[in-house]
Amino acid sequence: MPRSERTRNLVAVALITASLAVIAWVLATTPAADEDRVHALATRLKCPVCESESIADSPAELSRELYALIEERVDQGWSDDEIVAFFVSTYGEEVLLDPPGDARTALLWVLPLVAAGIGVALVLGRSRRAEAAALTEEERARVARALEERRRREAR
Amino acid sequence: MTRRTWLVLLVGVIVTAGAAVVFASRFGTDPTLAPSPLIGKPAPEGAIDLVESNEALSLADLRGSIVVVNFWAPWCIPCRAEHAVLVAAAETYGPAGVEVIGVVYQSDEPAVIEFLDEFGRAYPVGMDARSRLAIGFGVRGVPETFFVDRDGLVYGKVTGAVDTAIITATLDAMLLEQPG
Repeated sequence: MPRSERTRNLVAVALITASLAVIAWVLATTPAADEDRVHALATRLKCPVCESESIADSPAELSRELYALIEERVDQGWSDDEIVAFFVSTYGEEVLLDPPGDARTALLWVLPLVAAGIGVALVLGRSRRAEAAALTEEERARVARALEERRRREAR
Repeated sequence: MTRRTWLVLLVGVIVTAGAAVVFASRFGTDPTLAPSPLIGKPAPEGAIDLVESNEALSLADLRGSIVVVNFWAPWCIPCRAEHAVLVAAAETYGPAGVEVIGVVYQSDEPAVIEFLDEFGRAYPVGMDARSRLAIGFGVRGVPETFFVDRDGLVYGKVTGAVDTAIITATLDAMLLEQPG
């Protein structure tokens, strides 16, 4: 790949990364509105009487009561952790749609990262090999000459 | 014996020992009581509004008694079958300091009164506004029954209809631990 093209690509990647970082920073530092917090919490918690629906998605009467309870607790100033802890204390950890990040579930969290790391390493290794196999300037010139000669021969 | 045979034997011994540990850890617990994160923890103290009355009843009011908290609904078929068992338990164990209370789950009062007219009254029954007591107990459906000891701690839980055997065994065990 010519150096100018590589530089352009690097600049593009850097710009995209910087934009994503700014968006992530703004999202992370802007306090969520109460109703957003309620919905986010209800999305994290499993409806206790459903197969695999969240409280936010379930139309079950119990889920509507649980949603109202989350709203009430948010209004009362409970933190997200306190609300989640309350649900775990009554319904158990199966109320969490995402497994908790502790020693027992460490593998669940680590394995996808390891798999992603292996994937990235494989892709990088392959692209490096492809780059190494790219033609030199001299070889490109020879190919161009051969093609030109063939075109001339076919034109006759 | 070959090395492979020794390896198979070793794996067999480890698996058998693991299974033995798992079974042994279940000894001493009543296999018919259901698991709940509330076992051994303080029972929720939310109040219920007693039917056919303007009074409220809180579990805190019953501290010092062994309490059987039965979540039920008039539309629930297994609740019909267990009602007679709960009535008998209230009558038999009442003198020993056991209170049975019925907590109505997602239903309305006229249907509850109709049910009680048909199946009989022997213990307090109350409406659970917005299912708050049910949520506090982590109820998923009815019937579910919780046993609360004299200190207000949850002793056990039964999912589904209670029968005479489990209610008698559980209350006898609780009375043996806390005679009152």
